[in-house]
Amino acid sequence: MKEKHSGSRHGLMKGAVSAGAAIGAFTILGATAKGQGKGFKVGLIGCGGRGGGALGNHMAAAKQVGLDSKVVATCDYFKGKAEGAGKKYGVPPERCFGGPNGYKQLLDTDVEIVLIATSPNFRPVHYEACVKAGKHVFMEKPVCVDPPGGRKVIAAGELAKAKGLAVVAGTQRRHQRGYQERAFRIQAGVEGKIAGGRIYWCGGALWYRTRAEGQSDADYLVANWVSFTEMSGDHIVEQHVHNIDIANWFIGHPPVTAAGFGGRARRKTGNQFDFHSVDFDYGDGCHIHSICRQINGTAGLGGEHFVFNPTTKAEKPDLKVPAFEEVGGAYQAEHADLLRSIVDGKPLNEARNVAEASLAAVMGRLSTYTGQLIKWDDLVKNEKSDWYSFTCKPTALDFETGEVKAPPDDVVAVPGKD
Amino acid sequence: MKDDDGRVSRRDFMKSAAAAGAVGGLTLLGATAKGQGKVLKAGLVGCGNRGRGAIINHLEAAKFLNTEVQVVALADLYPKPLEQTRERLKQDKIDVPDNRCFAGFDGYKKLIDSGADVVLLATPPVFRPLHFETAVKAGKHVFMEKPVCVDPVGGQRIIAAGEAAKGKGLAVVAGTQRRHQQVYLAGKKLLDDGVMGTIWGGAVYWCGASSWINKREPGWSDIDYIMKNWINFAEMSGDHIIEQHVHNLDVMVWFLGSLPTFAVAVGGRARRQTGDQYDFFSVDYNFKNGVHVQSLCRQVNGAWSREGEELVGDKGLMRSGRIRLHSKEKVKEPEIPGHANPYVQEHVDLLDSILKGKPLNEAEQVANSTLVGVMGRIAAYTGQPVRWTDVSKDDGTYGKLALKPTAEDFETGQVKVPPDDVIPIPGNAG
Repeated sequence: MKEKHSGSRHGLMKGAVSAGAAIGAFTILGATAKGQGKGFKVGLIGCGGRGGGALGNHMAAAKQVGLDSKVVATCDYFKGKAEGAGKKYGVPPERCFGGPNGYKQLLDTDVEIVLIATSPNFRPVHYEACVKAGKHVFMEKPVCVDPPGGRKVIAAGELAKAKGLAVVAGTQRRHQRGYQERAFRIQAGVEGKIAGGRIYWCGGALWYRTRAEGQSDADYLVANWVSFTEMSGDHIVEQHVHNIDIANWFIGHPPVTAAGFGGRARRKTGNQFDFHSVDFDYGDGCHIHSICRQINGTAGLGGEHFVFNPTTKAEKPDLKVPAFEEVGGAYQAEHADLLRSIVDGKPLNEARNVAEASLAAVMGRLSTYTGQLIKWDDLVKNEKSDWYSFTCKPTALDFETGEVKAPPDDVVAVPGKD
Repeated sequence: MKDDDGRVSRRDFMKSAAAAGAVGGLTLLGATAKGQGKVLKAGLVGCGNRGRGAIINHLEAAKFLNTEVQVVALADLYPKPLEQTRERLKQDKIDVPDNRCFAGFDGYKKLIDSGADVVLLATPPVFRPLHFETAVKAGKHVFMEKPVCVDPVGGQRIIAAGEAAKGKGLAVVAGTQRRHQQVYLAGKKLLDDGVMGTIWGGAVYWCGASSWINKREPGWSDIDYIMKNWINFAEMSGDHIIEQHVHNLDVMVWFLGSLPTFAVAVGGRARRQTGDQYDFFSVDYNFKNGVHVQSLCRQVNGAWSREGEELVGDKGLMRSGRIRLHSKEKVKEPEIPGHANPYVQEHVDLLDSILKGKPLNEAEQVANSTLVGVMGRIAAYTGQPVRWTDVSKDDGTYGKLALKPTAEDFETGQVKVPPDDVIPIPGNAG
């Protein structure tokens, strides 16, 4: 613990006091007052590549904003992974939890900030549990694989708001200076309203794991999660959510409908498509064309491109773009923003944003899988719609109760009928 | 035959032809002056459903113009559709004699040599460039069904032959009938008048059910099979992004007033049976000024369907020709004269342009729209972006791509059917 961080401690206290209602910040104050140091106790659920990366980013961000945070617990479906991650940060083995219920044990510790980086199907349940336990959260994108999951995240986000808990999501473009400045200009009406555009994530195939001899269904699904829709949401959700989030952000709301095509050309395991192309209709004639593909040897294309209706430009737009801070790249900035918001007692809450981006991607996938036009309202509002309750099986809870049956490899959705 | 009406039209025609000084009109004058009567003579190449429909539309158009058209010859590879078309024409008291019904792959040559003034081309698209070139060389006016090619080489051939037709004063009208449809013409007029402002993006759709299939029967030759099941082979039809969706692509480039600079696409085959086509494509067409139009076409049963075009402008939306203003203010639609049925009106415009000696020439226009479809198809098949210049220029990346079998291969009998159910797969297995 370094005394030079005391300045930040003051900042923390001041911010929390001035915000008054920020329960979360008070909790932390309490914790820090108990002599745990001028920082946060951090826990990680999901110790894969991204989880380890997120934790590294988080600790770098803590240092950057003057906090002496400490990793106090880790958790992974595979206990060995939790121990591996814990070892790096000096977490004692008894605080490295394994199994599908390990996250509950982690939440029972004195952890204050939880980073969630498990596969997306677990996110709604894990996030909800974190909020109920009064934890601040950083959660990786995407945050659901189906409509009920997305709504659960939105509801838990509302609860977090009421409790003064911060939640930041791994849609890191929201913390990337270039994007923040662009969003500011667009919202100020510099270019006019978005009239159309396209968003791409076209690249090579991702990793995959074949089933090991004697591996249980649950273990196989967790190990090869990025190839199963029920685990990842399919790559339109798992990866392309970044670009869809930009469209939602810049336009200001999620799409009204999705009409898309997709298929599987070369994927090797699991049950996902390897390309999707969706017409996201944002209303008023604004169409955003999304293309995502994971096929080796095809063109690599990325990013978002929008075209504006110049007749809707603001007459005197506010051109004073704030100085957005981005130190160490967007992956660090998202954690710095999370920590500052907690310290300042103005907890960021990105649950709805990331849930809506994930749900829009789910809407696209439902369309490409079925060949039907899918309406946003059927996912979030119309309780009578089949899509409203559409749930991918196995669910996160099925893993907890051990009732997991892996969907067959290489059996994919076929839109329409013969 | 209505002599009175005929005479009136004839007078009009002579007057306007003389006034225009058009070569095509004069040629025609010469022909009619040689005692061929006051009638334009039409011949039909390709007597399938669309061909039969086209010749009936053509006759209806002549009636609408109070002029007279005589069907003088029919050609098709097979005797059966020839006979069916003859029978249909008999209902209109038109008899095409045996010696003017030409079967076989060289039937179109005999038809073109049989004294027709106007040749209607309605064979599968693979044959269009060769047939159109031959018709133009022989000095015939042409109505040709869409699409007009299946590959870049074919598109370039149509454009070149279209230029030759221009030089000879020959009329060329294509079966992209939206260009002759009142609702679209009204919308285009409003667009040109600035009512909807500049177009910034949109989407065009032909999402519907699967097409017909003719499964191979014992005893069929390769030629028999690919001809009878032409709509399921990319080499014959161009794939459905061209064969069917070209209509919407044509509206897209017509209203935007420019061609896409490049295309990025995905596509695949979910349920198609026989042949080697995809059953869905989704293309991002990139235009200058950053404008994107998404094209979606699908032929899968039981899936969502939508056909039409939606383009968004500064001040309004165009939906399949109709303009709706963002302000919700009502737009007064301009009156567009002519026949209400666009399939007839395209022939009205063709005949009228011939009669007036001001030949329409839609060759380049329809070739461009077809090539726009070719761009999208290649982008989907390969997983690579395709530039307009890749297909439109003979030294472009795909500029010399000609699908096999070619129209010429059919005449020499060198036809090998591509295997059923083997489709292009983008990228590599890596």
